Amino acid sequence: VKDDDRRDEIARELDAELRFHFDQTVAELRRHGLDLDAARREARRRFGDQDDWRRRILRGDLRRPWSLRRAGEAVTRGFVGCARDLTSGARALAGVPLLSLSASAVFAIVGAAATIAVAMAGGVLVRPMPYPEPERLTYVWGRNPNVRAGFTNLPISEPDLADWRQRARDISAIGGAVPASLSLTGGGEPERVPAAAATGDLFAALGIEPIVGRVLTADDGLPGARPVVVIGHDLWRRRFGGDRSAVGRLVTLNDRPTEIVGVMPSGFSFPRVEEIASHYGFEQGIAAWVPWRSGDAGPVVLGNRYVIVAARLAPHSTRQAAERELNAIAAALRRGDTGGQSFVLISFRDQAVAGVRGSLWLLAASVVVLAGIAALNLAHLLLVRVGDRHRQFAIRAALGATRLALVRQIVAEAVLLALIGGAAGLAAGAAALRGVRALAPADFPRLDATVVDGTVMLTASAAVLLAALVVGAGAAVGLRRVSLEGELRTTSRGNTARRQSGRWLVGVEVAMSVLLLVAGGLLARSFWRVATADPGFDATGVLTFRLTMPPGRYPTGADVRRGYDAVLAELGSQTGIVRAALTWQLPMTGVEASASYRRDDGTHAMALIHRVSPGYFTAMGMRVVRGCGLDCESDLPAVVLNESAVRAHWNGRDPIGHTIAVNGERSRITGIVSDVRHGSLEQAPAAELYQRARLRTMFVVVRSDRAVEEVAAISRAAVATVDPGLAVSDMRTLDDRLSATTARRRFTMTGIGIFAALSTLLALVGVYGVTALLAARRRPEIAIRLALGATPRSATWLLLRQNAAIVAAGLVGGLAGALVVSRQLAPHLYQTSPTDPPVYVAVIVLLAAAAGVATVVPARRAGRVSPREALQGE
Amino acid sequence: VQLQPGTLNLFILRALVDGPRHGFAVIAWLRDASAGELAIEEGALYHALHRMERQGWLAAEWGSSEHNRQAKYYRLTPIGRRELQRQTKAWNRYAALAAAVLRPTTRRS
Repeated sequence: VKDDDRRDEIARELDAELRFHFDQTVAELRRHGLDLDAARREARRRFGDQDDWRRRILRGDLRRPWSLRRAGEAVTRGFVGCARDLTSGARALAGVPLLSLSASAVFAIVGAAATIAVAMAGGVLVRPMPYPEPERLTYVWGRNPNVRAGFTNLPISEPDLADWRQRARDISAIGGAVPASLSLTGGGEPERVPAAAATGDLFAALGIEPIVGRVLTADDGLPGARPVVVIGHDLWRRRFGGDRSAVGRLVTLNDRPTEIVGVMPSGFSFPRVEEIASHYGFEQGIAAWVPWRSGDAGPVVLGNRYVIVAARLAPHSTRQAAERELNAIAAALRRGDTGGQSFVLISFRDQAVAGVRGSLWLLAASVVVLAGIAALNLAHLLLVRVGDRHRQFAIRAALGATRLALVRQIVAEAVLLALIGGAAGLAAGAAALRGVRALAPADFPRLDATVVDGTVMLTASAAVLLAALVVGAGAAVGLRRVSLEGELRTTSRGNTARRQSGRWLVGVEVAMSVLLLVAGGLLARSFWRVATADPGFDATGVLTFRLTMPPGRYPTGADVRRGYDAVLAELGSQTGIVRAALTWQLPMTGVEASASYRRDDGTHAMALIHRVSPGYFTAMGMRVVRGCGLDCESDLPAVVLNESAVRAHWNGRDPIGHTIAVNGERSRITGIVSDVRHGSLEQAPAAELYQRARLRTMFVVVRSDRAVEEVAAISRAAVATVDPGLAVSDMRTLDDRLSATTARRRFTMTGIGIFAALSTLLALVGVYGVTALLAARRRPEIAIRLALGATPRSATWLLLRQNAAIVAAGLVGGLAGALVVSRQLAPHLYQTSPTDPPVYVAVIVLLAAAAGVATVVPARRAGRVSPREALQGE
Repeated sequence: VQLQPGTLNLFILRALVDGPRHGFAVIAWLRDASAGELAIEEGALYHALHRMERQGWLAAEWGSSEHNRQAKYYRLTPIGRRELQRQTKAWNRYAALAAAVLRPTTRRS
C-alpha cells in the first residue's frame, strides 16, 4: 500500500513537470504563429514517444534514491531483518549441530586468544602507571662506556644525587633508594622484610600519599634521628591486622625499637625489581621503607654508584631539558672531566615495559595470525556449507529473496556462531589469563595491570565480531559465483568442479602456520642456546640464602665479621657440606656496583666489584686460573681479577703481585679467576674484581653433595645454633636463580609455541576437511572407476595428488613469508640466525608429514569404498 | 546534426552552469547554443535529467517560473560540477584527437 502511494506521488510530480513543458512549448510555438492544434502536434513530435518516455522515466524514478529519511527507514527495516536473519540462522544451525559446534569452538579460540592478547598487551603497554601524573616521572641512570656492568643503566653516586637535589631547576623533586635489609622480631617468628632505604624526597617525587600517618622526611635521615619505618599495605594487613593504631607503635627492626610512622596504599611498592630491569641488590616486593643515612651503603665518592634515582619533572620542563641540565650539573661537579660518564632520563613507563615490549608485540602478532588461520578455517567451513545449500538458496531466490537477503543470512549465521563461541571464548580467556599470570615469570612487569575489564571485553568482542563479518563475507563470495537460476535445473551431481572453491584457503592456512612454526622454532633454538650457555660457575648442588647481622646485637664491623665467621665455621663443620662462603651479590640477582681502581702506573680502570669471603670461588665452582685466590697471605688486602679484567686492562702484562687502589684502598692482586656471566646468561662476562669483605647483609653460598631439603634444614639449624635471632631469607638453589633468568624467554617461547601448535592443528583440520570433502563428493566417480577396474591405491592417489599441490604451495608461500618476517625476530634471538636452516627444514618436514597424514587417512577411506555401496548411495 | 552518444549529459551539465533551469529552459538554451542545429528528442532530455538527479549530479526543487507557474528547477551539485569538468576535458581531448586523426593528408597512394 505504501509503495503504491509513493508510486502515485512520483507519477503526479512527473506529469506536472511534463505538463509545464508542453504548455511552455505550445505557448512558444503559438508566439511563432502556429495555431493551437499545429502547436500541440509539433510539441508532441519534438518530445518523441510520450508514453514510452514517461514510462521509462517513471521506472527510473521508482528506484529508490538516497535520502536521510529513507536511510532511517532502511536501518529500522535492517534491524527487523537482522533479528529475522538471526532467528532463521539459529534454526538453520540447529539442524547441523556438529558443524555449529566446531565452528563455535573455533570462534571460542579466537575469543580467548583475543582476550588474553588485549588484556596482556593493553594492561602492560597502555594502562597508565599507578602514580599521579605518571608522564612526569623518570628514572635517572648513569651511562659509562668504560663500565661493563651486565646492564647499561648504572645506579647513581651519592654526591651526584645531592648536587642535583640542590641545583636542578628542571625537576621538581628527586629522590633515591638503596637496598635495605630488615629483620622484624618480637611477637612471632623473626621475619625478614624486603625493604628500601629512601631519601626524604623520594616520596615527594613519586607523589604517593600514605593512607595512615606520614611518609619519610629528610629530617628522618639526619644523624641521631629516632629510627622510624613506613610500611606497605600488605605487611600492615598481615602483621598488624590493618589496625590504624599500628601507626605510632614501636616494633623491633634489626634489634632496635623503631616507630611505624606511616602506611602506604595497597599496591604501592618502590622500587620494583621487575620494572628496573635488573635487581641492583633489591628484593622482589619491597614492603617497608626506612630513612637512608648518607654513607650507610659505602663510601660517599663519585665512583661509588648504588642509588636508584627517581625524579619528577618540573611542570613546564621536558625530559630532554632535564637530562641536559642534570648532565651539565654533573659535569660541573667533575670540573669538566666526566671520563665518559653521562646520565639519561628514562620515563617510568618506558623503563617498566622496555624488557617485555618486544615479547608482548610478538605474542600479539601470533594471536593475530592464529585468529587469521581460525577465520580462514571457518570461512572454508561456511563456504562448503554454502555450496551444499545452493539448492536451498536457489529455491529461496525463486520465491523472491534478493541476493542481498541470502548473503545476509550467511553473515547472520557467522555472527550467531561468533556470539555463542565468542562469549565462551571471552570467559575462557579471562580464566586463562589467571593461568598466564601464574605462569609468567616473577619479574614480568605490571602483571597487576593485566585485568579483564569492560574495555578489554569490548575490544576482544569487537575483534571476534570483525572476524565473524570477514568470515561471513568471505563465505558469501561463494554465493556470487553461482547462477541461482541454473541451480534448480541441475541435480546434485556433476558440480564438483565448482564446489571445490575455497581449497586455496587451506593453502593460506598452511602458509600461516609455517610462519608461526618458524617463529616458535627459532625462539626454541635460542632458548636452548641460552639455557645451555656456560655461566662460568657450577650451579648444581648449591643452596643460597640471605643473612643479615642486625645492628642491635652486632653494632660494629668487627661484630659482623665475628658473627659471619661463626656461621661459616658452624656450616663448615656439618657433614656433607663441601664449602660454605659469603658474597654480597650473587650472579643472576643483579649486579650491585662498579668501581674504578687505580693501577700502580697511575691509570684508572673500571670493574664490577664483588665482596666475598675466601671460600667463594670453591663454593661456586669457579676456577682460579692463576695465583692463590683470596686465601693466600698478603701484606695488603687481597684482590682477585677475572680473566676479562686482565684482558681488558693489563695489555698482556701479568697483574699478579701489582698493587692497585680500589675506592682509595691500597690492595695487592693475588690471583686471576675464571669469567662468570653475572648479569644474565645472554650477556658476555664483564671486567670484575673480587675483594674480601663481610658486610652486614650477605648471601651465604653452600655447596653440598646432599639433597636440597637436607641442606636447607642443616643450614637453618646451623644459623640458629650461632644466634636464634638471625633471620634466614630468600633461600633458593643456585639452579633456581639461574633458570629464573631465562624465565621471560621461556614465557615468550611457550606462548608462541602454544599458538604455533594451535595454528598447526587448525591448519591440519583444514587439510583433513578439504580431503574428506573432496573424497565424499567424488565417491560416485571413484566407485565407477573402481567398478571399471581401477585399484583402491590409484583412487587414493588421485585425491592425494590434488591436495599435495595445495599443501606444497602453502609451504612454499609460508617459507618465503617466514624468510622475510623472521628478520623482525632478530632482537629476540640468541646466537641463532633468523634463517637458521635446521629450523626451516624441521618445520617443512613436520608440516609436510602431518599434512600427509591428514590427507592419507580420508583418502584411503575413499579408496576402499565398495563400488556397489557407493553407487547405491547416490 | 544527430547527438553523439554520451554528450547529452555533458550538454545538460553545461546548461546548468549559469544557474538553476527547468527542463524547458535547458532545451531552449541548447537550441540557442547550437544555433538550432542539434536534434534531440525532448523525452530523452527529461529522461537524462531524472537519471542525473538520481545519480546526485543534479538537485531539483519546485519553484515559480517567470509566468508564476510552478516548475521543476534543476541545479548542479558539487559532484555534478566536478563531473562537468572531467567530462569536458575528456571530450575536448577526444575531439582534438578525432580531428587530428581525420585530417586530410596531401600524399595519396
